[in-house]
Amino acid sequence: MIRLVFASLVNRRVIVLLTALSVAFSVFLFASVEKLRDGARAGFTHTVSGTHIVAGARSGQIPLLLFSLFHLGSPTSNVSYASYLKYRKHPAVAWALPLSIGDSHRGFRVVGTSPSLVKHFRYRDGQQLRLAEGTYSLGRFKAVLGSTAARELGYKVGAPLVLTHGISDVQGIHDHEDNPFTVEGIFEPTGTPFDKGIYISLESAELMHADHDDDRSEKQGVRSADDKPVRIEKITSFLIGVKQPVDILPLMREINEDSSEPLTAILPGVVLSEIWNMMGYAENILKLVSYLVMLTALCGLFIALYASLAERYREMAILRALGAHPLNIAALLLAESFLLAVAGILAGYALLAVAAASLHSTLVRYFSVSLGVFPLTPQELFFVAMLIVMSALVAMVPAYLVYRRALAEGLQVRQ
Amino acid sequence: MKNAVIEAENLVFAYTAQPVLEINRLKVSAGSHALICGDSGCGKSTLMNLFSGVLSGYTGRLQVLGQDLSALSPAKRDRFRAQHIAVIFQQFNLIPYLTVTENLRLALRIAGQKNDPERTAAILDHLQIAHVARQRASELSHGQQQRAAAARALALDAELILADEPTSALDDTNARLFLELLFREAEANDRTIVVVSHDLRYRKRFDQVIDLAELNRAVKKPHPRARRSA
Repeated sequence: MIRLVFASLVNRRVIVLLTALSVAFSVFLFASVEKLRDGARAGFTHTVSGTHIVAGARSGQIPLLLFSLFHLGSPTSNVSYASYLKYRKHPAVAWALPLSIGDSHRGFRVVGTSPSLVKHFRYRDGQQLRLAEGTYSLGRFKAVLGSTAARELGYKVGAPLVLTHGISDVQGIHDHEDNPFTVEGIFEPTGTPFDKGIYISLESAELMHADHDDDRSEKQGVRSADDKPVRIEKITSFLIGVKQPVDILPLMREINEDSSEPLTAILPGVVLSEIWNMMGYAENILKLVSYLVMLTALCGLFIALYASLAERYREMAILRALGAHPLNIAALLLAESFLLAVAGILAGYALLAVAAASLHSTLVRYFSVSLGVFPLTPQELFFVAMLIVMSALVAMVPAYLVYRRALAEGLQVRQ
Repeated sequence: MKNAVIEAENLVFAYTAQPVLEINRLKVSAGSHALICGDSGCGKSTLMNLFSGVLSGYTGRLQVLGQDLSALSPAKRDRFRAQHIAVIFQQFNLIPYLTVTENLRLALRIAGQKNDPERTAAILDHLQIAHVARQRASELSHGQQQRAAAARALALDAELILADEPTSALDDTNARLFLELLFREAEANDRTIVVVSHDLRYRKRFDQVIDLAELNRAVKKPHPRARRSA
């Protein structure tokens, strides 16, 4: 009987192929919309992981998160380095990372931080930063580039880097030309906004500004200051990891109520989901699109299968004339329909895998979205199950008709 | 007197309101070779479809192999046909994308009978289609298809063989070869044969000839399809 199914399918290979292909495209379309939706959310929420608190000068929660982690917007005021040091030594704090944001290089943000960035910063379920090439020391006038920044700028390890004060695409009048940095290393892609950053140490950032800072009484050539400790006064924000999760909320309150300096502390996870919810309409549109795709795909499958089965009405009648039980015929149709649906689904995912592999770098670069076939989202599982159920239902219609209609009618040769 | 294999009484069948078949009494006894003849449109194929259970919805009594076909569900009728009756359909009803051999095997399989390769080979050989046994049914000529359909019916181990115009596409030699094999198989296994045909060339070989045009009272009434000049 299985041989008959295959023989029949091979006999109608063109229409069968087209049907499977239409299923494949539907699956591909649905799955990619699903994956992109999921990937967008994941790319967003995976930006930071393991950081319990983000703190900065008194400001809105969302701006604080956006400039600290997404390289979006700019800080309105700074926080004193002393405050950072105070909280770093706080008994509840396991680690703290200072961030100094405000400079840029050809549109890419320069982030001043401490060399322990690599040790403490985590993204996507606790993944660590890894170096793709070069070294990581964040020594004076050394910069490590995020993968996107390195690729877009075309910089290799050892390239000189001229940093601009302020954030702009064009080389500004505030070019710190006397202090060229060197690219010492490049991070591996993370698929998060982290990739767009240029990372230097706080000291380098401070030295870069030293020349232009009129308020400073002792103007020193930066080169000659190499061996002297640099005094850091201001940073823009800092990240905190606590020792015990129970300390998170008390510590946050403590920072928010700090009497020596007005500060804002936020829980990045909470604010991330707040932002995501604000952008929820975009996700809902994607959701709507994927449901429409699903509906179209199911209709397409129904039509394709029904058409191909209807044309085989006579064939089914012959089997009946030979004495095949209606249940056997139904099983035959079912097996065929099922095979088609499964083949289509597999082909659709194969297509997705190929597309994901070939578009991976583009997607990561432009959308910070990484796309893969697995794991399937619940919606996809539902969709795949619906397709299979639908294929079975579709097969039952002609099977029922074959049984109901007079056999003699089915045996007529129709021209 | 032998048992009747087919027994009809007051059999009336109508596709629409107008009956096309009205038979008072018809009987084919076991082991007989019956030829049902008559002009086109006198209801031969309809009668054949009633005998094989392909068509249903008649009034009156019709027993085939002692079974009242109208008492069976469509599925059971199909089963009954597969187990007891071999039918050579006028339209052949071969699965076009299967080879001749596969068509034979499929029929045997559905009927739940064992395939005896030697026997099927012999049948194909006798009907002179052994050389096309591995070709798809759709690639065969009309005559070859008809012989393949005949071979399928003969390969089945059935008590009753119904053949609807089995020689319509055959030349004289092949028609003779087919009838020869048909009768030989029937005699060897004590089968009953009912052939429907308007071809009277071979009428002498049958022991019972039924002129349906005369028997069917429906055609004697004025009817658009009745009694065209032969």
